[in-house]
Amino acid sequence: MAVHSKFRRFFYNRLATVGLFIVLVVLVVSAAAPILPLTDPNQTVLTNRLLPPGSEGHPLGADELGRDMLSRLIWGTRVSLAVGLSATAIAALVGSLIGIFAAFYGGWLDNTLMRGIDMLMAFPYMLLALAIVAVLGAGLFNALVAISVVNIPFFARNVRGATVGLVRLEYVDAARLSGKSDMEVLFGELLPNVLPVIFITISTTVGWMILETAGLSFLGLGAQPPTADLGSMLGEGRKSILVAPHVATLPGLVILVLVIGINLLGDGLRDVLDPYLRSGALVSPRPATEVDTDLRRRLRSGDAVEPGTEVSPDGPGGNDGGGNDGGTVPLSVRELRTWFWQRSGRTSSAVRATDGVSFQVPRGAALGIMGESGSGKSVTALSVLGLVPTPPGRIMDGSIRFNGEELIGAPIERLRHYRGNRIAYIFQNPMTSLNPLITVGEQIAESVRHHQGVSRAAARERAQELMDKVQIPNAAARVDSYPHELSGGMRQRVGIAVALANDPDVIIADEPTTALDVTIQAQILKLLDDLRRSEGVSLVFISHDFGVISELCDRVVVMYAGQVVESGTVDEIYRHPLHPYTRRLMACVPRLGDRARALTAIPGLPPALDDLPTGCRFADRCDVVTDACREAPVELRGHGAREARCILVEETSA
Amino acid sequence: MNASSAMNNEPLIRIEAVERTFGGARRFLAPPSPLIHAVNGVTLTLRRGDALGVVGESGCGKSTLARMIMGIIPPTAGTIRYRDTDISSLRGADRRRLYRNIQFVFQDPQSSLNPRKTVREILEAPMKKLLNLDAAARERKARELMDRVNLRAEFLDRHPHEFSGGQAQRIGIARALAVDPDVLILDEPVSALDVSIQAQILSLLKELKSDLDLTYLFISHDLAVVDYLCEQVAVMYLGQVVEQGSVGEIFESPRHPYTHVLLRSVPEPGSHRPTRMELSGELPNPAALPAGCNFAPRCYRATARCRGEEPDLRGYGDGGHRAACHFADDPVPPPEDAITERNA
Repeated sequence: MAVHSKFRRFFYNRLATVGLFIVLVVLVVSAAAPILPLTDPNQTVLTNRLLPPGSEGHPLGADELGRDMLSRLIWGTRVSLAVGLSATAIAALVGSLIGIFAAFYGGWLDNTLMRGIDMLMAFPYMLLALAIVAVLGAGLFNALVAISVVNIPFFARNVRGATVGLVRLEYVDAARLSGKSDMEVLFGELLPNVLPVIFITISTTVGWMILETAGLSFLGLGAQPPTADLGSMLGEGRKSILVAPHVATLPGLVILVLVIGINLLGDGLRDVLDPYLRSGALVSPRPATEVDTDLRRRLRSGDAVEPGTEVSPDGPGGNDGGGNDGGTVPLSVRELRTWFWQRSGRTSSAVRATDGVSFQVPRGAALGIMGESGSGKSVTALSVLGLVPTPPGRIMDGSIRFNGEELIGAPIERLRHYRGNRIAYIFQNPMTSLNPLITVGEQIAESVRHHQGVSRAAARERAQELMDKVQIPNAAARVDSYPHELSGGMRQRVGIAVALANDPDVIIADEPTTALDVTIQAQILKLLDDLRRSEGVSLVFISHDFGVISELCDRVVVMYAGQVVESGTVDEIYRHPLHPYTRRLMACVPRLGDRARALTAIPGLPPALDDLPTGCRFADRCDVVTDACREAPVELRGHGAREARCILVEETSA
Repeated sequence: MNASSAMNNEPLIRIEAVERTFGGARRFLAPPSPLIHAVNGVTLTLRRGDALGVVGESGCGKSTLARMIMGIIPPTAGTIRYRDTDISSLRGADRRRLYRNIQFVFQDPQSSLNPRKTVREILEAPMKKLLNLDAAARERKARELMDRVNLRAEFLDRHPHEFSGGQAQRIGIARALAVDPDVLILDEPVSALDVSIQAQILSLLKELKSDLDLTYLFISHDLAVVDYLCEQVAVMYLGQVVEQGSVGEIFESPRHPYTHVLLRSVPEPGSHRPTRMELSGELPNPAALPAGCNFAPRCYRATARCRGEEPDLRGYGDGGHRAACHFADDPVPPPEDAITERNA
């Protein structure tokens, strides 16, 4: 399956297909040279001297010794290709071995090998190749040796780089525990994973090597007369460039076309093989998540969320009133559908990351969004300010109001104005959200200056104030620290300081304590709780951990497979969960001091978000499922001040 | 059945005064790298049929300890014995023989499976290399293992990327069980999994332990998980065991202030109790450990004695409860004034 789709992706790339065609034609023709009806390429007929192309018997003319150009070109290409490819093979083999051994054993072996490679790379490679040929003497074989040697460093470095990343992976340890020897680990476990890198390096250097072979022959150091190769033909033709330009031009053209073909093919192969390029790294995301054109139109005409799909108007958050009372509900999300469009071949399908999510966050409240990975909780958070990358994300439906203003489809200037200013984010790993090259004080100050336009000195002062506020000890000194100089807990405090920089109305915290130790987590939770109460900021706290949400939040929204399945206060949900998923999720978390309790795991896996069932999305894992659950989509219904998406919950049960 | 209860007390792994340092090497044209004591004099015994949990926060040395037992890194001092063999410096065939008895389950289920191998290749490698089983026996055993960890036998021909995290961890467990080991070292085997999947794996581990008469050394930062799965627990802080004993004793009546704090820090579902913050400050720099008790700079009970004199790990009662604190005779939970009320 994987191989099949790689082929298909390759052929989507027109240029790469052209490259493949050129290379194939050249390979077939030069391989077939002995059986083609060609005259002897070295047969000198002086009467044919510098015959122009199109002459009888000599379609491409003849050179200054009257030798047939077509025959010499084909035989010459054959020699050039043979030398170039052999040099590539030798450089790839030797270089890859050096790289893989250096990475695997590390230490002094790595040092010795790689410093040797560095020394090779310290010389301009063409000069080095010339020097090697000068020592060994002119000739095709020596040219081949020289070109192989100067190209070894490229392979050694690339392969070492790729292997170093793999050697520390746990499967290498696991292979040792399975009783595999070093060599079995090296060639059985590591090499298959490094092969794509070797192929990528080959595809990008083979064109070079053919050029270098031609270069040496052009200088008379490679192929010796009368043997033809493309470089020597070019060199010889140069003498008669004015009287018979075709003699030099034709081998030049062949070199040009061949190398272009190889490079196009190589680029195509690399796009297919390189996981970094494959992941769409070259597609630059838009400044804001794209909004579906149909939704845009509906938003403009004012009927984005149809009344029929609206969730329990009298449900949680009291009177939402269509966003008119932004005074009490700064953030209101309704029927949000953010989908990821994935392409396979010519068809595209939607991964419904969020599929009708609604919630409100009143002023000064803390709302927890609880869910497992893939439940859509983070996508919901990022959608608020259009931070879901497009491609592949697109907002298909819904409404997000901030103090009454619609954010979906809002101009990018408005979103930029709100980002980090009125609505701030705290992420799970502050190391990835902070710039490692800028001091933490500068990063906080930057956010202040960007939105408040104050002086550099004032911003710095404010940064220090904020660091005090988030209880970073010795803020006056730490203001000049770089992120890597701080511990995980301190970095997260900096992340919170950045979020607080412009006194936001809403802070969205996405698993801010998941990467921290429990004692540090307790400190950060306490800090967030204090800040929420003292600053009157609304908090959206996203977590997979009901315990953490319990400590901090008033209300909680439980998400499953892109939907809200239940909402209510923390106490209600803890004491009396309505939805079977919530109930079972609580039952499968081990709790301290409760070791007699048997864990009842939820069997199975959540449904794939691009292949969702018609009815209840939890049906396949549910212990009280009925046939009716699978028949039609289940709506989120109000039960007093709570909501649940389950047909088995009685209207009166709440 | 008397014989089996006697066997149940047999020590399988004895870790004695084990130390491991990193760094400190002289470097060319640079000052020596700082010397860090990752594990600093740990003594532990793992008895047959036990499940010993090793808990602690990041940097406490619990994973280093696990990797020393497996011989992935050698200790700088001390000995580790399996039954009567010193295994801290085994090499080649001797070490491979050890892997028939001790196996390892890794934290990250995806990165512990080679993406280029099929499940069959992954499961059969230890049977072939360590047990010299023939092809038919390997096939039979691979199917048995898949059944054991509740995966379908058809999955044998798939590659790791086709599995979810929980399924991949089942494969990791099956691989560890392929040689019928006595002891499993489990390094945070559920911390990368979602809660609903975590429960599946924990139930499986509990079931396997009683069905196959296994002994577990279970490394975790999650106290509740250790409470669920283990009978014994050792609490580590900065490379040392600060308290150990039965799970009931340690979690209900801890004697070390750090254990108190650790237990108090675990968020409790459904309780709107005040958020607490007993521990001021962070871990001290492991390259410049404080004199005296390592925990003193963050401890609510620390006195001048604690800052000058390092406490020994001493036994309390006859249940094997040991703690390294000058005040372990008179344990006191964190004072109330360290608990901040919600100013609601």
